[in-house]
Amino acid sequence: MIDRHACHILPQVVLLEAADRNESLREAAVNTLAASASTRTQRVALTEMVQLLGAQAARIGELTPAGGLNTVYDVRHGSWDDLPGVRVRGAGEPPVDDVAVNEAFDNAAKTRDFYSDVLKRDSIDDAGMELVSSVHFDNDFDNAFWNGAQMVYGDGSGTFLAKGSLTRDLCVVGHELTHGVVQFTAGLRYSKQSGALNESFADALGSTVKQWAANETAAQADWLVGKGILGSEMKGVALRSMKAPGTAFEGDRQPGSMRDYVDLPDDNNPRNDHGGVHINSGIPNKAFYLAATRLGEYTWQHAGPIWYDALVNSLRPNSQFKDAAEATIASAAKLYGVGQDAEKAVRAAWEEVGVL
Amino acid sequence: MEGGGFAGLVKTTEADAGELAPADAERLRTLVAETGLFDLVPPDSGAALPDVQSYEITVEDGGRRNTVVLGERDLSPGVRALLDWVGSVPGHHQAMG
Repeated sequence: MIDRHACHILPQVVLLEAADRNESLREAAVNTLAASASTRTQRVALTEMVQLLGAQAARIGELTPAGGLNTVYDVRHGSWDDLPGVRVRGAGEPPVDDVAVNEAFDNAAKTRDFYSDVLKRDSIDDAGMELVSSVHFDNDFDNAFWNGAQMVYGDGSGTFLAKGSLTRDLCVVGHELTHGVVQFTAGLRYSKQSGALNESFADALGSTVKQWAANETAAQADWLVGKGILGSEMKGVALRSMKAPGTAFEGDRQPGSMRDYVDLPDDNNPRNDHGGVHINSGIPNKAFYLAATRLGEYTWQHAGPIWYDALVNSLRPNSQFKDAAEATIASAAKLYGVGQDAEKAVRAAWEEVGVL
Repeated sequence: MEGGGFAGLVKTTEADAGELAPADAERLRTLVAETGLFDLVPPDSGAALPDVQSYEITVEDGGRRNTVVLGERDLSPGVRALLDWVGSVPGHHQAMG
């Protein structure tokens, strides 16, 4: 697939590299690239650049046009090559006659506000990147994902995931957008423990967005990811429980402790989920829940900023659970004082789940 | 069979021409033939992206059989159409796991 777009990607990479050596050339190059960055071909190319550039993925945000900060497209049941689809709603525009469009728009805006107001982060890339969402992906599609450049939502089949549920839940939208933030910061590799950390940061900060928007304390929150989105064939209350991993639905395999870590290969078999990234994320999820409830009051006041600081300043693509534990403890000490309650609470949380 | 999505669920969908209405069975053979799945060699799908599903697809006809794993972005329009059709044709089977 990459070969097909090589003619689009290569000049951009060359431009950026040239731009690196000269400040005014750099500005000109970024403006040139930005001029057409919203076309479909460019967006596909951007996605693939994310993979090609690896550590340089943070540069992608520089290519998005300024202005429309939050834009929703209708991909009209098309697939990957049809993204983003037809533009239906942008910033400052009134609601349209499509619930999924308005939900994707409103929840993206809330998530952006959370990052801006609470964590002082300017959009996904911390440089005002436009938020792009596409709804109505494929037919009865039971998934939502971040494709490296934008968010994508299916309608749900009704049997596995409820119809219309994927854009409705702020926690899901916050989760997908946070995958974008991870890409532009720690860049956690989507495999085994680093992949489970990528998943867990998306759940942790997605839950924090939800609690912030509802003005709930850590004690009041339900700590569920994807509450009410299960379809008719699924028995349970949500997709994941950060408070009690493994109890969200019948068949939930998430462990809440290293004792029960599920060691799966990252072998291209879809059953193995890149080495259990959606399974073992239960362990750091539980640590986040424990830290947040011990710190008390609101999650976005303490636990959220601590985890975010570790993500942005300490973690790396290959970080493992132990690295995340040490990084969040160091961030707690940095933000709230060495030897203070915050540092102790974070350490105790990782000890309780067996990572330390 | 598909997995790796946001929900962390694995879903298996099956359609057997022998259990379908004659017109649907014919349609299944046509759709499979159009995809070239019996001879498909999957491309290298590159680094994994968060919550993006992948699909293990097995086609079988008489003595011929082929299994490939394709990422969401590697599904051709023909394969996408086949998966959508198999997931909705009367007589198909779908299960978790």
